[in-house]
Amino acid sequence: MASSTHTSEDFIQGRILKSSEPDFFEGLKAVVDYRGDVTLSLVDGNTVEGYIYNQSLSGLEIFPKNSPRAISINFKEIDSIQFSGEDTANGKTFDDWTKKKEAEKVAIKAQPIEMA
Amino acid sequence: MGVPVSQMWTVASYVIKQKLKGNKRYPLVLMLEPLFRCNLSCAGCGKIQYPDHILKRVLSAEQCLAATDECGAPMVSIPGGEPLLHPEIKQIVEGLVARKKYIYLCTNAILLQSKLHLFKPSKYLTFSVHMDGLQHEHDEAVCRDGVYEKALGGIKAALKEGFRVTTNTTLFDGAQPERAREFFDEMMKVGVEGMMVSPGYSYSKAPDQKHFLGRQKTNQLFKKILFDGKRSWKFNQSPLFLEFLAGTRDFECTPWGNPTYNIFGWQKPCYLLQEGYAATFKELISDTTWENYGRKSGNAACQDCMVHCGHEPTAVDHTFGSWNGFWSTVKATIAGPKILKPAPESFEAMEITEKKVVNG
Repeated sequence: MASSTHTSEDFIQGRILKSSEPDFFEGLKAVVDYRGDVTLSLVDGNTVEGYIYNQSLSGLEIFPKNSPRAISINFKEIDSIQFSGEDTANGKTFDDWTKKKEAEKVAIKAQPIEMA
Repeated sequence: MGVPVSQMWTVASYVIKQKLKGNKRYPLVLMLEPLFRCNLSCAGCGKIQYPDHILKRVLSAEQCLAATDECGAPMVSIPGGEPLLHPEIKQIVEGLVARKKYIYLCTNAILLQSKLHLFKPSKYLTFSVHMDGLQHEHDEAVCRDGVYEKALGGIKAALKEGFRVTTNTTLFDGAQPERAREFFDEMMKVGVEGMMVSPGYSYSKAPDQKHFLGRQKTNQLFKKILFDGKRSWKFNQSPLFLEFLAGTRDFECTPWGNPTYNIFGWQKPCYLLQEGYAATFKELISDTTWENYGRKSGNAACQDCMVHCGHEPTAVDHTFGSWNGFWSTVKATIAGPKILKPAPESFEAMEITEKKVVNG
Protein backbone atom coordinates (compact mmCIF):
# COMPACT_ATOMS: atom_id res chain seq x y z
CA MET A 1 0.00 0.00 0.00
CA ALA A 2 1.38 3.42 -0.88
CA SER A 3 2.05 5.66 2.08
CA SER A 4 0.08 8.85 2.47
CA THR A 5 1.43 12.02 0.94
CA HIS A 6 -0.52 14.07 3.52
CA THR A 7 0.98 15.76 6.53
CA SER A 8 -1.01 17.32 9.37
CA GLU A 9 -0.02 20.76 8.08
CA ASP A 10 -2.04 20.00 4.92
CA PHE A 11 -5.26 20.13 6.88
CA ILE A 12 -5.67 23.73 7.83
CA GLN A 13 -8.74 25.93 7.63
CA GLY A 14 -9.80 26.33 4.03
CA ARG A 15 -8.40 23.01 2.74
CA ILE A 16 -10.77 20.92 0.63
CA LEU A 17 -10.46 17.13 0.58
CA LYS A 18 -12.04 15.63 -2.54
CA SER A 19 -13.40 12.09 -2.43
CA SER A 20 -11.70 11.53 -5.79
CA GLU A 21 -8.26 12.10 -4.21
CA PRO A 22 -6.22 8.90 -3.94
CA ASP A 23 -5.50 9.64 -0.27
CA PHE A 24 -9.12 10.45 0.63
CA PHE A 25 -9.46 7.74 3.29
CA GLU A 26 -6.08 8.61 4.77
CA GLY A 27 -7.20 12.25 4.91
CA LEU A 28 -10.33 11.28 6.86
CA LYS A 29 -8.14 10.75 9.95
CA ALA A 30 -7.34 14.45 9.84
CA VAL A 31 -11.03 15.27 9.38
CA VAL A 32 -11.96 13.38 12.56
CA ASP A 33 -8.98 14.88 14.40
CA TYR A 34 -9.81 18.44 13.33
CA ARG A 35 -11.20 20.55 16.20
CA GLY A 36 -13.28 22.79 14.00
CA ASP A 37 -16.36 22.54 11.82
CA VAL A 38 -16.20 21.15 8.32
CA THR A 39 -18.57 21.44 5.38
CA LEU A 40 -19.50 18.27 3.58
CA SER A 41 -20.54 18.67 -0.07
CA LEU A 42 -22.66 15.70 -0.97
CA VAL A 43 -22.98 14.06 -4.39
CA ASP A 44 -26.68 15.03 -4.49
CA GLY A 45 -25.71 18.72 -4.32
CA ASN A 46 -26.61 19.30 -0.66
CA THR A 47 -24.17 20.51 1.95
CA VAL A 48 -23.90 19.71 5.68
CA GLU A 49 -21.87 21.91 8.02
CA GLY A 50 -20.88 20.62 11.42
CA TYR A 51 -18.40 18.83 13.66
CA ILE A 52 -17.23 15.35 12.69
CA TYR A 53 -16.36 13.30 15.75
CA ASN A 54 -16.21 9.71 14.56
CA GLN A 55 -15.52 7.50 11.60
CA SER A 56 -17.32 4.20 11.32
CA LEU A 57 -16.75 1.43 8.80
CA SER A 58 -19.33 2.90 6.45
CA GLY A 59 -19.18 6.64 6.99
CA LEU A 60 -18.73 9.68 9.16
CA GLU A 61 -20.67 10.75 12.25
CA ILE A 62 -21.35 14.44 12.48
CA PHE A 63 -23.12 16.90 14.77
CA PRO A 64 -24.63 19.33 12.22
CA LYS A 65 -24.23 22.93 13.36
CA ASN A 66 -27.95 23.63 13.58
CA SER A 67 -29.27 20.28 14.72
CA PRO A 68 -29.58 18.76 18.19
CA ARG A 69 -28.87 15.25 16.93
CA ALA A 70 -25.85 13.60 15.36
CA ILE A 71 -26.26 11.96 11.95
CA SER A 72 -24.24 9.43 9.94
CA ILE A 73 -23.23 10.11 6.38
CA ASN A 74 -22.10 7.26 4.17
CA PHE A 75 -18.76 7.66 2.38
CA LYS A 76 -20.56 7.08 -0.92
CA GLU A 77 -22.62 10.22 -0.39
CA ILE A 78 -19.60 12.49 0.05
CA ASP A 79 -18.17 14.53 -2.80
CA SER A 80 -15.78 16.70 -0.80
CA ILE A 81 -15.00 17.92 2.71
CA GLN A 82 -13.91 21.46 3.38
CA PHE A 83 -12.14 22.40 6.63
CA SER A 84 -14.41 25.41 6.85
CA GLY A 85 -14.43 26.36 10.55
CA GLU A 86 -11.64 27.68 12.71
CA ASP A 87 -9.43 25.00 14.27
CA THR A 88 -10.16 25.72 17.92
CA ALA A 89 -7.11 23.76 19.09
CA ASN A 90 -4.83 25.97 17.07
CA GLY A 91 -4.49 28.40 19.98
CA LYS A 92 -1.53 30.07 21.54
CA THR A 93 -3.15 30.51 24.91
CA PHE A 94 -0.18 29.53 27.00
CA ASP A 95 2.22 31.63 24.95
CA ASP A 96 -0.08 34.62 25.24
CA TRP A 97 -0.38 34.07 28.96
CA THR A 98 3.38 33.78 29.59
CA LYS A 99 4.03 36.86 27.43
CA LYS A 100 1.46 38.80 29.45
CA LYS A 101 3.03 37.67 32.75
CA GLU A 102 6.52 38.59 31.53
CA ALA A 103 5.28 42.04 30.50
CA GLU A 104 3.74 42.49 33.96
CA LYS A 105 7.02 41.56 35.66
CA VAL A 106 8.92 44.02 33.46
CA ALA A 107 6.39 46.75 34.24
CA ILE A 108 6.70 46.12 38.00
CA LYS A 109 10.50 46.27 37.83
CA ALA A 110 10.30 49.49 35.82
CA GLN A 111 8.23 51.25 38.50
CA PRO A 112 10.19 53.80 40.56
CA ILE A 113 10.87 52.65 44.14
CA GLU A 114 9.09 54.90 46.61
CA MET A 115 11.29 56.09 49.42
CA ALA A 116 9.82 56.03 52.90
CA MET B 1 -11.47 12.49 57.95
CA GLY B 2 -10.18 9.88 55.47
CA VAL B 3 -11.91 7.84 52.79
CA PRO B 4 -14.98 6.29 54.45
CA VAL B 5 -14.67 2.60 55.25
CA SER B 6 -17.90 2.02 53.31
CA GLN B 7 -16.22 3.36 50.16
CA MET B 8 -13.15 1.16 50.65
CA TRP B 9 -15.40 -1.83 51.28
CA THR B 10 -17.52 -1.09 48.18
CA VAL B 11 -14.46 -0.89 45.94
CA ALA B 12 -12.77 -3.92 47.51
CA SER B 13 -15.84 -6.13 47.26
CA TYR B 14 -16.51 -4.97 43.69
CA VAL B 15 -12.96 -5.80 42.54
CA ILE B 16 -12.98 -9.17 44.31
CA LYS B 17 -16.33 -9.98 42.70
CA GLN B 18 -14.90 -9.18 39.25
CA LYS B 19 -11.91 -11.41 39.99
CA LEU B 20 -14.12 -14.27 41.12
CA LYS B 21 -16.18 -13.91 37.94
CA GLY B 22 -12.96 -14.05 35.92
CA ASN B 23 -13.72 -10.65 34.41
CA LYS B 24 -10.32 -9.33 33.31
CA ARG B 25 -11.53 -6.05 31.87
CA TYR B 26 -13.76 -4.33 34.37
CA PRO B 27 -14.31 -0.61 34.90
CA LEU B 28 -13.37 0.96 38.20
CA VAL B 29 -14.28 4.61 37.71
CA LEU B 30 -16.66 5.93 35.06
CA MET B 31 -15.36 9.23 33.70
CA LEU B 32 -18.61 10.98 32.96
CA GLU B 33 -18.12 14.14 30.92
CA PRO B 34 -21.58 15.72 30.75
CA LEU B 35 -20.27 18.76 28.85
CA PHE B 36 -17.06 20.21 27.45
CA ARG B 37 -17.83 23.86 28.25
CA CYS B 38 -15.59 25.40 30.87
CA ASN B 39 -15.16 28.79 32.51
CA LEU B 40 -11.38 28.45 32.33
CA SER B 41 -8.99 27.77 29.50
CA CYS B 42 -6.03 26.03 31.11
CA ALA B 43 -2.78 25.67 29.22
CA GLY B 44 -2.41 21.93 29.78
CA CYS B 45 -5.99 20.97 28.97
CA GLY B 46 -6.90 19.38 25.65
CA LYS B 47 -10.53 18.75 26.54
CA ILE B 48 -12.34 21.93 25.64
CA GLN B 49 -11.13 22.95 22.18
CA TYR B 50 -14.35 22.57 20.20
CA PRO B 51 -16.61 24.78 18.08
CA ASP B 52 -19.23 26.76 20.02
CA HIS B 53 -22.17 24.55 19.05
CA ILE B 54 -20.34 21.53 20.51
CA LEU B 55 -19.50 23.40 23.71
CA LYS B 56 -23.20 24.26 24.11
CA ARG B 57 -24.27 20.62 23.95
CA VAL B 58 -24.71 18.61 27.14
CA LEU B 59 -25.62 15.08 28.13
CA SER B 60 -29.02 15.04 29.80
CA ALA B 61 -29.32 13.73 33.35
CA GLU B 62 -31.16 10.73 31.90
CA GLN B 63 -28.27 9.98 29.51
CA CYS B 64 -25.75 10.31 32.35
CA LEU B 65 -27.62 7.86 34.56
CA ALA B 66 -28.19 5.41 31.73
CA ALA B 67 -24.44 5.41 31.00
CA THR B 68 -23.74 4.84 34.71
CA ASP B 69 -26.06 1.84 34.78
CA GLU B 70 -24.61 0.49 31.56
CA CYS B 71 -21.03 0.75 32.83
CA GLY B 72 -21.57 -0.55 36.36
CA ALA B 73 -18.44 0.99 37.90
CA PRO B 74 -18.72 1.67 41.65
CA MET B 75 -17.24 5.15 41.35
CA VAL B 76 -18.13 7.99 39.01
CA SER B 77 -15.86 10.91 38.32
CA ILE B 78 -17.52 13.93 36.73
CA PRO B 79 -14.94 16.01 34.92
CA GLY B 80 -15.62 18.10 31.85
CA GLY B 81 -15.56 20.99 31.07
CA GLU B 82 -16.81 22.46 34.28
CA PRO B 83 -19.65 20.26 35.62
CA LEU B 84 -21.10 23.06 37.76
CA LEU B 85 -22.08 24.83 34.51
CA HIS B 86 -24.36 21.90 33.63
CA PRO B 87 -28.03 22.87 33.96
CA GLU B 88 -28.95 19.44 35.40
CA ILE B 89 -25.96 18.83 37.64
CA LYS B 90 -28.24 18.61 40.69
CA GLN B 91 -30.33 15.86 39.07
CA ILE B 92 -27.22 14.01 37.89
CA VAL B 93 -25.70 13.98 41.37
CA GLU B 94 -28.99 13.03 43.02
CA GLY B 95 -29.44 10.14 40.59
CA LEU B 96 -25.93 8.88 41.24
CA VAL B 97 -26.32 9.15 45.02
CA ALA B 98 -29.58 7.20 44.75
CA ARG B 99 -27.59 4.49 42.94
CA LYS B 100 -25.01 4.53 45.78
CA LYS B 101 -22.20 5.49 43.45
CA TYR B 102 -19.20 7.26 44.96
CA ILE B 103 -18.97 10.52 43.03
CA TYR B 104 -15.96 12.74 42.49
CA LEU B 105 -17.31 15.97 41.07
CA CYS B 106 -14.23 17.59 39.55
CA THR B 107 -14.52 21.34 39.62
CA ASN B 108 -12.32 24.40 39.37
CA ALA B 109 -14.51 25.67 42.24
CA ILE B 110 -15.05 29.11 40.75
CA LEU B 111 -18.81 28.50 41.09
CA LEU B 112 -18.69 26.13 44.03
CA GLN B 113 -19.74 28.54 46.74
CA SER B 114 -22.69 29.84 44.74
CA LYS B 115 -23.88 26.33 43.75
CA LEU B 116 -23.49 24.53 47.07
CA HIS B 117 -27.19 24.94 47.83
CA LEU B 118 -27.93 22.51 44.99
CA PHE B 119 -26.34 19.62 46.86
CA LYS B 120 -26.72 17.77 50.15
CA PRO B 121 -23.65 16.52 52.04
CA SER B 122 -23.34 12.77 51.57
CA LYS B 123 -20.68 10.12 51.95
CA TYR B 124 -21.27 9.43 48.26
CA LEU B 125 -20.44 12.95 47.07
CA THR B 126 -16.96 14.48 47.03
CA PHE B 127 -15.98 17.77 45.43
CA SER B 128 -12.60 17.17 43.84
CA VAL B 129 -11.20 20.65 43.41
CA HIS B 130 -8.63 21.39 40.72
CA MET B 131 -5.65 22.95 42.49
CA ASP B 132 -2.34 22.84 40.64
CA GLY B 133 -0.34 24.29 43.52
CA LEU B 134 -0.12 27.39 45.63
CA GLN B 135 -1.43 30.72 44.35
CA HIS B 136 1.36 31.52 41.88
CA GLU B 137 1.54 28.02 40.36
CA HIS B 138 -2.21 27.51 40.24
CA ASP B 139 -3.08 30.86 38.67
CA GLU B 140 -0.34 30.31 36.12
CA ALA B 141 -1.58 26.81 35.27
CA VAL B 142 -5.17 27.95 34.79
CA CYS B 143 -4.08 31.10 32.93
CA ARG B 144 -6.09 33.46 35.12
CA ASP B 145 -5.20 35.49 38.18
CA GLY B 146 -7.35 35.17 41.27
CA VAL B 147 -8.60 31.63 40.66
CA TYR B 148 -6.61 30.13 43.54
CA GLU B 149 -8.24 32.45 46.06
CA LYS B 150 -11.67 31.82 44.58
CA ALA B 151 -11.16 28.05 44.69
CA LEU B 152 -9.87 28.22 48.25
CA GLY B 153 -13.02 30.11 49.22
CA GLY B 154 -15.12 27.38 47.59
CA ILE B 155 -13.23 24.62 49.42
CA LYS B 156 -13.66 26.31 52.78
CA ALA B 157 -17.36 26.93 52.19
CA ALA B 158 -17.94 23.30 51.17
CA LEU B 159 -16.03 21.98 54.18
CA LYS B 160 -18.00 24.25 56.47
CA GLU B 161 -21.25 22.81 55.12
CA GLY B 162 -20.03 19.27 55.80
CA PHE B 163 -19.19 18.15 52.27
CA ARG B 164 -16.34 15.80 51.44
CA VAL B 165 -13.63 17.78 49.62
CA THR B 166 -10.43 16.58 47.97
CA THR B 167 -7.99 18.31 45.65
CA ASN B 168 -6.67 17.13 42.30
CA THR B 169 -3.31 18.41 41.18
CA THR B 170 -1.60 18.01 37.84
CA LEU B 171 2.13 18.60 37.78
CA PHE B 172 4.09 19.64 34.72
CA ASP B 173 7.75 20.04 33.83
CA GLY B 174 9.23 22.86 35.86
CA ALA B 175 7.19 22.10 38.98
CA GLN B 176 9.17 22.93 42.11
CA PRO B 177 9.18 20.02 44.60
CA GLU B 178 9.50 22.29 47.63
CA ARG B 179 6.52 24.36 46.48
CA ALA B 180 4.49 21.17 45.95
CA ARG B 181 5.32 20.09 49.51
CA GLU B 182 4.28 23.51 50.83
CA PHE B 183 1.07 23.13 48.86
CA PHE B 184 0.35 19.74 50.47
CA ASP B 185 0.92 21.30 53.91
CA GLU B 186 -1.44 24.13 53.03
CA MET B 187 -4.22 21.85 51.79
CA MET B 188 -3.98 19.72 54.91
CA LYS B 189 -4.18 22.86 57.02
CA VAL B 190 -7.31 23.91 55.11
CA GLY B 191 -8.79 20.54 56.04
CA VAL B 192 -9.39 18.66 52.79
CA GLU B 193 -10.02 14.94 53.13
CA GLY B 194 -7.20 13.99 50.79
CA MET B 195 -5.22 14.98 47.72
CA MET B 196 -4.78 13.44 44.31
CA VAL B 197 -1.68 14.10 42.24
CA SER B 198 -0.81 13.12 38.73
CA PRO B 199 1.65 14.14 36.04
CA GLY B 200 0.05 15.95 33.10
CA TYR B 201 -0.65 14.14 29.85
CA SER B 202 0.59 15.50 26.57
CA TYR B 203 -2.79 16.07 24.91
CA SER B 204 -2.13 16.74 21.24
CA LYS B 205 -4.77 19.48 21.42
CA ALA B 206 -3.45 21.30 24.49
CA PRO B 207 -2.18 24.82 23.80
CA ASP B 208 0.99 24.28 25.86
CA GLN B 209 3.09 21.45 24.45
CA LYS B 210 6.37 22.41 26.07
CA HIS B 211 5.83 21.41 29.67
CA PHE B 212 4.70 17.78 29.71
CA LEU B 213 6.87 15.41 31.70
CA GLY B 214 8.78 12.42 30.34
CA ARG B 215 8.88 9.21 32.38
CA GLN B 216 12.30 9.66 34.00
CA LYS B 217 11.56 13.27 34.81
CA THR B 218 8.26 12.21 36.36
CA ASN B 219 10.05 9.70 38.59
CA GLN B 220 12.63 12.29 39.67
CA LEU B 221 10.02 14.93 40.38
CA PHE B 222 7.81 12.66 42.47
CA LYS B 223 10.80 11.22 44.35
CA LYS B 224 11.72 14.75 45.36
CA ILE B 225 8.17 15.62 46.32
CA LEU B 226 7.29 12.44 48.18
CA PHE B 227 10.59 11.34 49.73
CA ASP B 228 10.44 11.75 53.48
CA GLY B 229 6.81 12.78 53.07
CA LYS B 230 4.96 14.08 56.07
CA ARG B 231 2.62 11.80 58.00
CA SER B 232 0.06 14.59 57.95
CA TRP B 233 -0.32 14.38 54.15
CA LYS B 234 -3.37 12.38 53.14
CA PHE B 235 -3.71 11.16 49.57
CA ASN B 236 -7.00 10.09 48.13
CA GLN B 237 -5.37 7.49 45.91
CA SER B 238 -3.58 4.17 46.10
CA PRO B 239 -0.17 4.36 47.84
CA LEU B 240 1.07 1.91 45.21
CA PHE B 241 0.26 4.48 42.53
CA LEU B 242 2.40 7.02 44.40
CA GLU B 243 5.23 4.46 44.47
CA PHE B 244 4.75 4.04 40.72
CA LEU B 245 5.03 7.80 40.16
CA ALA B 246 8.25 7.90 42.13
CA GLY B 247 9.70 4.93 40.23
CA THR B 248 9.69 2.47 43.14
CA ARG B 249 7.52 0.07 41.15
CA ASP B 250 6.35 -0.26 37.58
CA PHE B 251 2.79 -0.65 36.40
CA GLU B 252 1.36 -1.19 32.96
CA CYS B 253 -1.66 0.87 31.93
CA THR B 254 -5.22 -0.39 32.40
CA PRO B 255 -6.92 1.73 29.73
CA TRP B 256 -10.38 0.21 30.31
CA GLY B 257 -10.20 0.97 34.06
CA ASN B 258 -11.60 4.49 33.74
CA PRO B 259 -13.90 4.43 30.69
CA THR B 260 -15.06 7.79 29.40
CA TYR B 261 -18.56 8.73 28.29
CA ASN B 262 -19.48 12.07 26.73
CA ILE B 263 -21.74 13.62 24.09
CA PHE B 264 -19.95 11.63 21.39
CA GLY B 265 -20.39 8.24 23.08
CA TRP B 266 -17.87 5.86 24.74
CA GLN B 267 -14.42 7.20 23.99
CA LYS B 268 -11.85 4.81 22.52
CA PRO B 269 -9.59 3.71 24.07
CA CYS B 270 -9.24 5.84 27.21
CA TYR B 271 -9.80 9.19 28.89
CA LEU B 272 -6.75 10.72 27.24
CA LEU B 273 -6.59 9.35 23.72
CA GLN B 274 -9.41 10.02 21.31
CA GLU B 275 -9.51 7.38 18.61
CA GLY B 276 -13.20 7.23 17.88
CA TYR B 277 -16.33 6.37 19.83
CA ALA B 278 -18.36 3.27 20.57
CA ALA B 279 -22.14 3.40 20.79
CA THR B 280 -22.28 1.14 23.85
CA PHE B 281 -20.00 0.25 26.76
CA LYS B 282 -20.11 -3.39 25.69
CA GLU B 283 -18.91 -2.41 22.23
CA LEU B 284 -16.09 -0.32 23.74
CA ILE B 285 -14.84 -3.29 25.74
CA SER B 286 -15.28 -5.92 23.04
CA ASP B 287 -14.23 -4.00 19.92
CA THR B 288 -11.19 -2.07 21.14
CA THR B 289 -7.84 -3.66 20.36
CA TRP B 290 -6.49 -3.17 23.88
CA GLU B 291 -3.15 -4.75 23.01
CA ASN B 292 -2.37 -1.57 21.04
CA TYR B 293 -2.24 0.56 24.19
CA GLY B 294 0.00 0.88 27.21
CA ARG B 295 3.76 1.18 27.34
CA LYS B 296 4.49 -2.44 26.37
CA SER B 297 2.51 -2.04 23.17
CA GLY B 298 5.12 0.38 21.85
CA ASN B 299 2.37 2.92 21.09
CA ALA B 300 4.19 6.26 21.04
CA ALA B 301 1.25 8.06 22.65
CA CYS B 302 1.54 5.79 25.72
CA GLN B 303 5.29 5.86 26.32
CA ASP B 304 5.46 8.84 28.67
CA CYS B 305 1.98 8.52 30.13
CA MET B 306 1.87 7.86 33.87
CA VAL B 307 -1.50 9.45 34.45
CA HIS B 308 -3.75 8.22 37.23
CA CYS B 309 -6.70 7.28 35.01
CA GLY B 310 -4.72 4.45 33.42
CA HIS B 311 -2.39 3.42 36.22
CA GLU B 312 -4.44 3.80 39.38
CA PRO B 313 -6.80 1.00 38.25
CA THR B 314 -3.68 -1.15 37.80
CA ALA B 315 -2.61 -0.34 41.35
CA VAL B 316 -6.05 -1.26 42.70
CA ASP B 317 -6.14 -4.45 40.64
CA HIS B 318 -2.68 -5.32 41.94
CA THR B 319 -3.88 -4.84 45.52
CA PHE B 320 -6.63 -7.39 45.12
CA GLY B 321 -4.86 -9.63 42.61
CA SER B 322 -2.45 -11.32 45.02
CA TRP B 323 -1.48 -11.57 48.68
CA ASN B 324 1.75 -9.80 47.80
CA GLY B 325 -0.20 -6.89 46.29
CA PHE B 326 -2.56 -6.76 49.25
CA TRP B 327 0.28 -6.89 51.76
CA SER B 328 2.23 -4.16 49.89
CA THR B 329 -0.83 -1.94 50.02
CA VAL B 330 -1.39 -2.56 53.72
CA LYS B 331 2.28 -1.78 54.45
CA ALA B 332 2.25 1.36 52.30
CA THR B 333 -1.00 2.52 53.90
CA ILE B 334 0.36 2.10 57.42
CA ALA B 335 3.98 3.18 56.94
CA GLY B 336 3.53 5.45 53.92
CA PRO B 337 4.55 4.71 50.33
CA LYS B 338 8.10 3.48 49.82
CA ILE B 339 9.95 6.32 48.09
CA LEU B 340 13.64 6.01 47.25
CA LYS B 341 15.96 8.88 48.02
CA PRO B 342 16.22 11.19 45.02
CA ALA B 343 19.57 11.35 43.22
CA PRO B 344 21.63 14.47 43.85
CA GLU B 345 21.14 17.18 41.20
CA SER B 346 24.53 16.53 39.59
CA PHE B 347 23.72 12.85 38.99
CA GLU B 348 20.24 13.50 37.76
CA ALA B 349 21.07 14.70 34.26
CA MET B 350 23.53 11.83 33.87
CA GLU B 351 20.95 9.29 35.00
CA ILE B 352 18.32 10.59 32.57
CA THR B 353 20.80 10.62 29.68
CA GLU B 354 21.89 7.05 30.45
CA LYS B 355 18.29 5.84 30.61
CA LYS B 356 17.58 7.47 27.26
CA VAL B 357 20.52 5.61 25.73
CA VAL B 358 19.31 2.33 27.21
CA ASN B 359 15.79 2.95 25.96
CA GLY B 360 17.38 3.63 22.70
